[in-house]
Amino acid sequence: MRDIISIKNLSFKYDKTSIFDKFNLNIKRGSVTTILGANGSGKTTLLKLILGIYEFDGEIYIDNILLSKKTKKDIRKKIGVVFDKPENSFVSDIVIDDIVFSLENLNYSKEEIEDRINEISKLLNIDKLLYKRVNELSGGEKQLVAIASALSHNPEILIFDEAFSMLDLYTKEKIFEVIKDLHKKTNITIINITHSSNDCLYGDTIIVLDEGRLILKGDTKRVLEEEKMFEKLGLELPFMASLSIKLKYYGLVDEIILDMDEMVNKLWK
Amino acid sequence: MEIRFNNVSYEYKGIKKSEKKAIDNISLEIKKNKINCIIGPSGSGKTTLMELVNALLIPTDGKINVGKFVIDKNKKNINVKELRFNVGLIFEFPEQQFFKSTVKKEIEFGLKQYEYKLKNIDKRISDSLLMVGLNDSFLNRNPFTLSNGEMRKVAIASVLALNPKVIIFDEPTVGLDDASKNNLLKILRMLKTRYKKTIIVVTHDVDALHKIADHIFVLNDGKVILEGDKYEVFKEVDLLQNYKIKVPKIIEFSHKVFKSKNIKMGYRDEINDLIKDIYRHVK
Amino acid sequence: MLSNFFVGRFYDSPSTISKLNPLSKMISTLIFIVMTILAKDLRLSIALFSFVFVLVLNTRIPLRVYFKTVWSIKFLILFMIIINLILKVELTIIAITVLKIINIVLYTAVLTLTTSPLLLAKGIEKILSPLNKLKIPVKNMALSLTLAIRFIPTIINEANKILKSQASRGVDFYSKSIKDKLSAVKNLLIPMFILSLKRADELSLIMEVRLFNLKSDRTNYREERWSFIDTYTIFVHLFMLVIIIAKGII
Repeated sequence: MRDIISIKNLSFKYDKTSIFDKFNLNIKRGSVTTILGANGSGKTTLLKLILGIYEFDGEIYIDNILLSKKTKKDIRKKIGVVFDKPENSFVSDIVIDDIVFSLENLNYSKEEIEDRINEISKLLNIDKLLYKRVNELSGGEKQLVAIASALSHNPEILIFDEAFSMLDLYTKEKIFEVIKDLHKKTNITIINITHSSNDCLYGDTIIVLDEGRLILKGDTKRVLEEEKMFEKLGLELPFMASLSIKLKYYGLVDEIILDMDEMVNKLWK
Repeated sequence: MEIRFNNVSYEYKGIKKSEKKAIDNISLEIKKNKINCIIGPSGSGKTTLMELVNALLIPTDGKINVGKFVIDKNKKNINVKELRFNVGLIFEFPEQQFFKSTVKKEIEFGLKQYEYKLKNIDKRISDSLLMVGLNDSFLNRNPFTLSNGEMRKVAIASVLALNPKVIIFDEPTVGLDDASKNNLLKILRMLKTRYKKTIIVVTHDVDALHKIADHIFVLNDGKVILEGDKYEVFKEVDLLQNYKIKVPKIIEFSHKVFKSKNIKMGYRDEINDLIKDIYRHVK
Repeated sequence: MLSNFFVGRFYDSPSTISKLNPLSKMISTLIFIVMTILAKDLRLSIALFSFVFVLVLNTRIPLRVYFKTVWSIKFLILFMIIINLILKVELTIIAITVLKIINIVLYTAVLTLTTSPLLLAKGIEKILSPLNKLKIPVKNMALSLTLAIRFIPTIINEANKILKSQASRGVDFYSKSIKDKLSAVKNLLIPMFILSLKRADELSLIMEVRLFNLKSDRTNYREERWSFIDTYTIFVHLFMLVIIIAKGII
């Protein structure tokens, strides 16, 4: 099936407040989707619902499997999550112990675990970090390890929950390059839940949420044209999007261009 | 209130002898009544610098002048309490330090440490809430029930209540969404212009500080490698790149235009001005 | 710095002893403690002391660290000496008692300085694992213990930050009054407690996401290897124990 996540008529209340009311959403297999929304828009709740943490009304299908108490465990095997504060999600003080944690829980054999570690080290280039202590790592390295840990059980969906808000811009860009590379090699479905609109540049699809409602959804470039809606929701457009839109008014470009080099070449042929 | 570092060094004492100097012979002057920003990669010494200003740490070498106070390792009897009355410090995620059941009590806490008279306390509390864009309706609310942005503002208000002349912020925008971030930057600007405070911001959010910085210090490995106003600092795109510091996107763009097409547009920090420049140069 | 002290004072210095399996180290420690208690004459106690001293030298950790450890219980030792003098106990017996205490303290220092606390937790889990058969959830208790140890540095960092921010708001930590001290403790505990609750929440989510479950078996990937030296070490300790018991009987 084309959609790896399919949410139908989701309704959910927390403490008597309605968070989602007949909410619908589909995420395409192999896409890199940015779920953008201000704090309180429901994005983290959505993640918890997908993981089967709460009970809800409606239907959630992950890879064609309907989420229920029975299927919770199988569904969680298909999902890997990276959270915002890596030091709060490490379960051990040596990197390799943290990465193998999910595999140990699934009772993989030692040989299977060894193979998987070699695969992930090669994929993310973290060979040198394996036996280091977690608190000796830099912020960027910690997130890399967190990504490795999330990927260890070979999930089909990798979800980032505000995972980059603590990083400086340079490190963030480096990590996004790693993620792009990962996506190219494995075609894993990636979802980035964030409140920072600059993160949109790294995905092919954008979903904008506001107070539990789906406001915008579509290809990145198309969604970024909706400057009035962004302004209404109090979200800033990424610089390149703003620039493109304004240059469009002056007739200097005819579409949204997100890459700086591409823009420079378009303007000065 | 003048703040000046004179050949200051700081070394953390560890179990193993070979500790790198967190601050290595720094001399600088914080600009009064301006927004001073300190940027640099992790481990460059930004947090240490901040903690030296209000004497949470004492330099292992050199001395710091903060108004009439002198902080150095030989002066053991400096009145830290009075110093901290004049220099407010707001840590990263300040809302994590809440421990009172109402906003009023939380803001009162600092004032009570300094034994303010009761008549003045209530007015001070209301004033500090106004300074952060909140009002008296928040007084009896439980701080833990507020939104992220509101909690951050209450934490800031509780330091502002002491009316310090200097306020230091450590990563004030981290964890906030765009709207709350812009709101906070407005507050910082207002603290400078309307309330005549000297502001120091330690951050790595270059795009945010580009909107408000008057003077920038760039730190790396405990040393100041570059300082100046934002034009002087951010035009050094390549130098900063070597130190793994990104410049604001608008500057990065102008820099790319210059490097690849050899067209020099002015340093623009407003996107509309940039557009005008591009238009002129393309036609 | 502070965290180094609390987390069992693990001193990351490679030596033969640090490479031993934590289980063999813990078993040896237990055997040694039994030996020390049973040794009733001065010569034996001094012999045991030299044995411990050899181990101390093997760890390649500076002697001042060991000295600080013994120094930290000086009041206990002084107390014992005084009580024994009052009870008119023979001087040699007092010397033996003091040596016993020092021997045990130094030996356990060797253990904690050469074994990371998380490995110690694994060792404890191994020792208690037979209890699994009695349906006691050893695995889960071990995980809780491991997580608690793993988060001690984080918790200490948070406490430091809270103390610093309160100091910045005028709290005087050097005040002598009891009321102020109690107040300072309360003001620290409340935010720490709330942070711990938040962390417990986050951790339970993470455990679910990382597929931890209470019921089924789990693999232990990095099981510490058991080598010839481990068997040899336990054998040596048992041998010494047998000699000491024999001496006591003959």
